[in-house]
Amino acid sequence: MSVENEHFVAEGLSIVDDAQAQGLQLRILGSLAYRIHCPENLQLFEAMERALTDIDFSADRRKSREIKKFLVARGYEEDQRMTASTEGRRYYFEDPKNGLGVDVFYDELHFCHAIPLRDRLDLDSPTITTCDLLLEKMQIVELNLKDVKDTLVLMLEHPVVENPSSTEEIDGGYIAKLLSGDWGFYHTVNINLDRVERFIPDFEMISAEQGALILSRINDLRKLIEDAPKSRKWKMRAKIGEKKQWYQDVAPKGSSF
Amino acid sequence: MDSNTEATGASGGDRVFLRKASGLIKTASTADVVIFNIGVVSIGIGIAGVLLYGPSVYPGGNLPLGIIIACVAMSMIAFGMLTWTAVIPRSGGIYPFVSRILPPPIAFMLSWAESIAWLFFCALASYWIMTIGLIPMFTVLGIQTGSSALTDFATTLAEPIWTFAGGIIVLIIAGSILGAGMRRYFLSQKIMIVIAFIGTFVMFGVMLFSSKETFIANFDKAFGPDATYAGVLATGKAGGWVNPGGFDFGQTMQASNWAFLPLVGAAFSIAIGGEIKSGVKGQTVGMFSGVWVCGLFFLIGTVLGTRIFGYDFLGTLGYNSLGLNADAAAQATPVVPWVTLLAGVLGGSPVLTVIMSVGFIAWIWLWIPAMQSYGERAMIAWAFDRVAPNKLGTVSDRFHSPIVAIGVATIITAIFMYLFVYVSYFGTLVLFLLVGVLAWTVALGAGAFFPFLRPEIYGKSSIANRKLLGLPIMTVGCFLGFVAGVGYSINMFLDEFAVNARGSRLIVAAGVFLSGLIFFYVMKMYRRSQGVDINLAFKEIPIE
Repeated sequence: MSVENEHFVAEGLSIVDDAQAQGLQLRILGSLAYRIHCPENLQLFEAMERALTDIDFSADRRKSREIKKFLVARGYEEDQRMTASTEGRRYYFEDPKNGLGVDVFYDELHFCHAIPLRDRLDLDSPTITTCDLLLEKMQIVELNLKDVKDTLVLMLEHPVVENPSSTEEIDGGYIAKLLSGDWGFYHTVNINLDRVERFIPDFEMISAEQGALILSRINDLRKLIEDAPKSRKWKMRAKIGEKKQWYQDVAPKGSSF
Repeated sequence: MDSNTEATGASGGDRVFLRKASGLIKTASTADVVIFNIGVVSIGIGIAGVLLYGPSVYPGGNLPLGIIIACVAMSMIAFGMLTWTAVIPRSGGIYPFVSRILPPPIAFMLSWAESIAWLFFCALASYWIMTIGLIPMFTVLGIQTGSSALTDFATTLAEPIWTFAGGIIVLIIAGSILGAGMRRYFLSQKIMIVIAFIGTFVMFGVMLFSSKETFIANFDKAFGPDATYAGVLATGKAGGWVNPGGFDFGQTMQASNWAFLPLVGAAFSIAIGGEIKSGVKGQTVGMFSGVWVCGLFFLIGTVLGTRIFGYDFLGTLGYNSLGLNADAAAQATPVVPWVTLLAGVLGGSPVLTVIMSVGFIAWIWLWIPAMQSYGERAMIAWAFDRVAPNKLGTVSDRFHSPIVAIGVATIITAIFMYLFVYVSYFGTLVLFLLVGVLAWTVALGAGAFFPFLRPEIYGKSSIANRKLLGLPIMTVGCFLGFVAGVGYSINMFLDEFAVNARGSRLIVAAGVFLSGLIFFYVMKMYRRSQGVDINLAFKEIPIE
């Protein structure tokens, strides 16, 4: 891992630990979380590295006041435009000394699709769970190469099971249950699983054996998703299909004001 | 956190994307924008205003033509505003626009003036919920059911203290809904607009399927012998109301002010420009449907109303009821004869009366949180540019909404509410519409030059390469809007009944603008004492 990224990891872990000491749950997500959760394949991340620019966290919105106080005490400054633009669903802080940014997403990660997180912060630490990490990428309609790569590495290092017994296993049962009530999310995930599968041969650093392992795990997940009973809402929406937009548009990061 | 921006690239036989930056989810869908704008236009208020004031104050005016002229003018203004919001998609009304082209004091003054104007109308709507919503509803219900308790209740509500209290409760409810977040606000608007449309459709049905004879009989039964259909007509004409017959363009234009007034709301989505998911598309659909859907309903309501009640009757009844008839013998209804009152009498059913009245109240309600949010969002934008206290831009950690700005907007509207109830002078200040339209007109005039004066901003916009008549589309759109704004400003200025921009009223209007200048310079001095030059904020290109 590059020195720069080590700095990010150190700061991210330090924030989680110090917050925990004050009774606040902050869980890392995003690129940093992938690196923390996939220590055996860090070299794969480095091969297509993009400089990290900020640290992303998830937290319970009911603790937003305390979390703001905590981060401000560490020297971070709140971007009030972001807070106002998201009505407090997302806070952005920046350390004026080094420009390090901290994004805090409250209760859920909601871009193209909503991933509920508030009641899942207890399940893993210092990051969100591996299945939420996978969903974080799979909810993106406009998946980029880095997302594909992160997903490949995550699935290479973590098996997909229906009932996980450790935090290193991806909870495919949870993913299947979540998608069985939301056709749009189901559709996006399926599109992305297909994309990820097709990209496996493109990455030279992934061996044929590793590729086969990833593919088997993608198929494990597909099976769990397909086997899960679907809600009536899911079935009705499925009949409409792509004729109606099935995902939430995401605007460029900026301010509403 | 990554999210989408632009799509390119292909690899492995499949398409992937390049995303440049972290993303932001916007709150308002196109449907929300349509409802927002139609709600601020308020079909109920539009129909009621045209039918009450049109025949009575502007006899000889062609009401349908007046409505169409107002729609065309408002479309021109909406076109200009649309180009502004395409170039600077930010919330805060005209403030984000004018603050990037006009001198800072002028820019702030215009934004201040329009915000005061719209908050004034927010309070007026709250006042109307009591005076032309609830009080007439209970009056008619009392008459129809023979219940003195209901008429007594209406009389009680009409007492200043209860009118004020009721209005304040309405304003606090509106502020609370906004405080609960924009998602909940948009949901509440969807519910209210359904109620409003049900009331309007029932009113149209009653007017369409009843006869004039039924109305005359019901009217005479409800208000006779003090006021009868024939008596209203006779005393009105004897008191000076004259239907000149034929077509009078001047009267048509003046009458059109009452259609134009609510139609201004069709461009109110500039208040939430930064929160619209589909950007220009949402604004386009929202603004033009706001103008033309509402215009269509105005036309239907006006045609049905004049057919069933009679143009001359509406004219004389309004003339007698609005105090224009000096004759003491003039016959009038006990409360101002808004169309809901007349339609309630026509329907002859307490159930229909309640549905139509509640629908009308819902139309008035739709003004209130929307106009509150307009002022509130302007305040937030000011705070971020440091021309207002920082607190106005803060989001409450407890409620997760800009409680301070909402609170300040609510207090301002509560003060206006007090003035409506206790100072009769303020109850007729439609003049504030002229203040708001003048501010918009200057913004549109400035917009015509924007592509040339701020090419670094305009060049990055989605309409940068679009031209009309060889000119940047923004120049054409804003020029058309400017022409319409000037035209209706003059039209309103000439309307001695609606706006009456004379004497002390002009001083009030000038005072609104002047107070904005004073506030700006006070803030400038305060910020300077903190070592902050607020002029720098105005030079920044809005962050993308």
